[in-house]
Amino acid sequence: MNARNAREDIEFAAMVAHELRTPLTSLKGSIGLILGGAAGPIDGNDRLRTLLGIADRNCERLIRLVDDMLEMAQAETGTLPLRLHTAPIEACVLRAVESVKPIAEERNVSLAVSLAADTPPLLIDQDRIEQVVLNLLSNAIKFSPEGGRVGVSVKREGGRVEVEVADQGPGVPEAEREHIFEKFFRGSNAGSVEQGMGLGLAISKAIIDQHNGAIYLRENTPAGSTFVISIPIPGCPAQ
Amino acid sequence: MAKKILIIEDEPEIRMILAIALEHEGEFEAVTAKDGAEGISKALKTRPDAILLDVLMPGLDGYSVCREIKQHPKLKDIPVVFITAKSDHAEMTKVIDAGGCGYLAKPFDPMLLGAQIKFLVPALRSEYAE
Repeated sequence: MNARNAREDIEFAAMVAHELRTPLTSLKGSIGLILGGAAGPIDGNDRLRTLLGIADRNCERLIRLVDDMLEMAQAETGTLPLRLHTAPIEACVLRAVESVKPIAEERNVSLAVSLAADTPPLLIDQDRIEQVVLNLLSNAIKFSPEGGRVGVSVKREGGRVEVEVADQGPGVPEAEREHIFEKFFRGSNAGSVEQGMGLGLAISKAIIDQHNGAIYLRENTPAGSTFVISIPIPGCPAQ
Repeated sequence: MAKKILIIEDEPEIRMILAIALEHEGEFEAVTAKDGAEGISKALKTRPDAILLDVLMPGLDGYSVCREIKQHPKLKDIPVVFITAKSDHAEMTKVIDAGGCGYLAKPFDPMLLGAQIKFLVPALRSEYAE
């Protein structure tokens, strides 16, 4: 793709995202006002509340898809805006863990966090790294069996810091392993979990690539998977 | 006494939702305008306590409207909060450069709108009431 086509693609994605956001704002706003009682009381009408709740959740889902589409267009052309600062990656991991706690509790999945004491600060965009860890944790929880355990750890490995996310889900079928970071790829195991566009891991990879890091599937068995994010430590020689 | 908020937004449905959301709690009175020119005219006529301003509008965009407001001797002290479909660092910079005090990202939660505006504009909070 040449630079002009790339620019046109981003502009097109941005325009589509904006055009979709306007009706979604009307839709979500109207649903929110009705649920909030601004159009009259809905207490006692459980069926109405349930139906509006469904509409609201699906509206949220569409909003996420629109955001993903735009991010993917930026990621593909290496123009995803990053705000790089020297910061501890542990803070991003802990914020992501806090965010997924309610989903984990809902699915009766326990979360175990392990942070090594010797990890130096990294040159990272904290919001973007949190987004990647959140994506891995959300996937791990979604694919975990009832009563399962998801572990997340941060440790130093030579000149890099690694974040590992391990689950006890069914693993990735070997034939699909090389495709999991491709955009719009949805694994065969995804059928039973919440539908997405298959952009989460592709966006995650683009973010980590822009940090000169790596993201990959390290362990993969029918008893669980372990995903790894590896980011170079500033000043350490590349290995 | 209800604080007056001027909503400048070209999309009629979003304009209406914003007005209902603000007036629902009883703390705000909403005045609406469909574009920048009407917005400036209504601002002069009604002297709102704050302005909610859409970024992307036909004709004058929100940033240009805000710059006009900030250069007008009778309007320059009115806090302006942008409403935008974008929410990133670049957007924040544009908001500050234009003289705005913050932005609300679309799609917004209408039931949190009042609280968010009060967070961005301290003068709208009851403890700052004259």
